[in-house]
Amino acid sequence: MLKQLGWWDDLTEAEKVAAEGKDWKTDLSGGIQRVAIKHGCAPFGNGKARTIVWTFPDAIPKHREPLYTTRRDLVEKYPTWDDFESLYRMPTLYKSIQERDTSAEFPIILTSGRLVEYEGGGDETRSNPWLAELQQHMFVEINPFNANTLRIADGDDVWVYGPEGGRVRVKALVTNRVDRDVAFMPFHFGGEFQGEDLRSRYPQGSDPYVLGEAVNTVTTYGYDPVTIMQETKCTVCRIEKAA
Amino acid sequence: MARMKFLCDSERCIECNGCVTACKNANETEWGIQRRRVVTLDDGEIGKEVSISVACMHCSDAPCMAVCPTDCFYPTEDGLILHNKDACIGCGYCLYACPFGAPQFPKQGAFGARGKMDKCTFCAGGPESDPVIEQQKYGANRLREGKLPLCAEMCSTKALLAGDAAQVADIFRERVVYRGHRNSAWSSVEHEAAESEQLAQNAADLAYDATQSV
Ligand code: SF4
Ligand code: SF4
Ligand code: SF4
Repeated sequence: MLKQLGWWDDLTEAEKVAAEGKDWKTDLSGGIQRVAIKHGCAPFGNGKARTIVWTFPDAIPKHREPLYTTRRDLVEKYPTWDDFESLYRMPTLYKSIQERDTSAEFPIILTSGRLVEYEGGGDETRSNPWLAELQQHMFVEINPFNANTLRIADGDDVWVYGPEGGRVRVKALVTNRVDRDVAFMPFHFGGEFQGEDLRSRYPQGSDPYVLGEAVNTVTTYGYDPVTIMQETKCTVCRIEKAA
Repeated sequence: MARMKFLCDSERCIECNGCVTACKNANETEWGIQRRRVVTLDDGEIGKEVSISVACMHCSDAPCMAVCPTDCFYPTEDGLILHNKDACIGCGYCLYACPFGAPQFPKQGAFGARGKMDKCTFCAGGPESDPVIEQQKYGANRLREGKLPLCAEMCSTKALLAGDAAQVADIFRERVVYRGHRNSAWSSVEHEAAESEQLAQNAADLAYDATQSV
């Protein structure tokens, strides 16, 4: 596409190598996106509908730095909203949370997500022996660089601390799946709480085969102002080797 | 004579473990025994990560059969390597001989004594005339019902192929031909033109090898 438009030579040599045979979705160098925007085009195509929703806090969506962030420079540039005295009749905090600088104590971004083997809260899938066998431990994915700095080996027990006081004891999975700045935990586990095994509290016969710490013990406050969806995908953490 | 083969197309496998779960479903092997497993290399390395699903490959000149002191292995006319659990003494020789780590042993009794060996049967059961006992000991006999292995039938991306070697090779060769072209509909291969031709040739050779019975 860029070649047809005669914009190919706007790419740097390095970008050309990375962009060859790619489109805006798959070019990891960012070159195609950069050149498209420079020419006044949206990389994903100018024919796509865009919307102004005048009843939303941001009429056009824009980036606002998460409440908990490791990038204080981006807080300056993309601050969050002021606190709402009443959002769907509830006082909801934004700025007063973001103002607190946690970046020194909690230097790693934490996100959570799904494993293909499990589904939802994991209660059903961890109760199915075929699936439970595939993932027998709650874990945190740590980049090898971070793991090295923290003296953590693959399979070690680690504590992951969240900035609101929660902590979970999980296995370390040292992998390049995550970037240096990021750690990942799956959200399908439950039945352990801050190092304590709660299996005895399940009604008899209803405890799943596999238990583990719930990631949301360490995730933090935050709500989307339109949907009031809670922020479980974007927070910060500190990881330490467990004794 | 049909000769049954597996082939896992590593360009397609997404490490979903669907095949592992399908096998559990078909054969109800106990916790800790996975006849099929998925191996991922270079996990998380962009452009390098590759996954492949492995079980018993039903070797043409099977090393497990050669080393077994009680001769519990036997070839079938479909080219499968099956085994007789009644003869198995749990010595573990086949595990050391097998290049794919296919044989597995349930932990049994004290001192880590091995139970009777279990491995993929190509969903073809074992040497038992009573189907109920066969199911308990060896798992499903889908071949007798005219069905192919459940792992391959349930593979979410059709990476895992199972069946008559010539047909499996034809399907794989056709994929390779299409993928040889950059940006063709199936392309997940991101290589330079010369390199992708070489890879296509390698894969075609592999598909040819799969059709050979000796
Ligand atoms: S158990 Fe191993 S050596 Fe024996 S037929 Fe299967 S793959 Fe080959
Ligand atoms: S062929 Fe049957 S026994 Fe073998 S791995 Fe597949 S599902 Fe399991
Ligand atoms: S089901 Fe198919 S895609 Fe999924 S892990 Fe098995 S072979 Fe790979």
